[in-house]
Amino acid sequence: MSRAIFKNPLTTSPLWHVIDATGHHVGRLATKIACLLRGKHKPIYDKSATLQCGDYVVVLNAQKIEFTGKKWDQKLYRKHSGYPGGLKEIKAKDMREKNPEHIIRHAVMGMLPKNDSKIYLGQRLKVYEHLQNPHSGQIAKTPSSSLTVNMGPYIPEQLNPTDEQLKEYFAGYKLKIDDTDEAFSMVETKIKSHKEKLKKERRLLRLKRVNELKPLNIKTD
Amino acid sequence: MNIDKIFKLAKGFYGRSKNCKSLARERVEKGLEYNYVSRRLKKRDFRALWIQRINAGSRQHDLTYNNMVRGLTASDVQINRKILSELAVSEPYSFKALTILAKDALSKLNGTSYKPLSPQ
Repeated sequence: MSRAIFKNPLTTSPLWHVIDATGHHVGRLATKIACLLRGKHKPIYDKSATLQCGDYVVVLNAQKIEFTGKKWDQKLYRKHSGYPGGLKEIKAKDMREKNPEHIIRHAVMGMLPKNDSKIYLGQRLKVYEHLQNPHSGQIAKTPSSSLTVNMGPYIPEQLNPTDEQLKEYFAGYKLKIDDTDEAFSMVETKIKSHKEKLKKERRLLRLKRVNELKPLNIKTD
Repeated sequence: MNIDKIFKLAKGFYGRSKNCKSLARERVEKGLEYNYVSRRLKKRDFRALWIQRINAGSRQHDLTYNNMVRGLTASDVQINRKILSELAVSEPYSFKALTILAKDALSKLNGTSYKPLSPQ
């Protein structure tokens, strides 16, 4: 089925996706880019024909990307020249000044499959510092489709759960306590389970049978 | 086996393995062993491919693969993954109808915190 589909020029023409990276987090964006490069968003995906079902991705505003936590000071990009003593470590904030495109590239190349197609898929990823790019003419020529991803800057999610959803979410965690005296006493003291109650009753039955349990004789003089 | 049968099976092999008797015999035996094993692997590989394709097709309609299968089994639809993957490619409107069926069934199941996929 797949070989006949790949001969159709409509399906084999690659799409061009444009992503604006202001405010996005590095790793979470890189997973989506790797998915688009391989063609896993299409139902004609085939792992042995990634170059025919993959797409091109253009990333803009790479200088405004964000890391969470203290990674700008602590994350190191390492390379070794091969000679002894040739380890070079660059912090992420220095990399942002020198070569900001490397941050996204390094993240995406680590998420692509480690085979011969990695180089060719990496050539299809185009990263730019600001909004200027030489691809606007080609993108205008390609026919428009509903599958292209034109992502804008990051907008954080605003959750507005209803009362029913809150009830479902906390269903297993909230204790249901009635407003009776027994319930209050149970909460204050140690709550014993059903099994310990049964154990206690069985122990009392055993002792009764052996006649060890004798009723208390309180002598009243 | 007869040497002629072995040379017939050794067509396309590398170097002298297709021309010389003892080398061809070794390589053909190994090839038949690989064939035995991969007849069992073929069933696993194709099922994985169908699942990847259904996942891609259902994400176009704001559903993941696991939710879609859950909804279809809840509504007692017994279509297998092979046909679902072919529907996603060649008959998109009937695939869309199946996703609507699955979403209806999911909303009726107990304990669902069904959250639609975010647009980003």
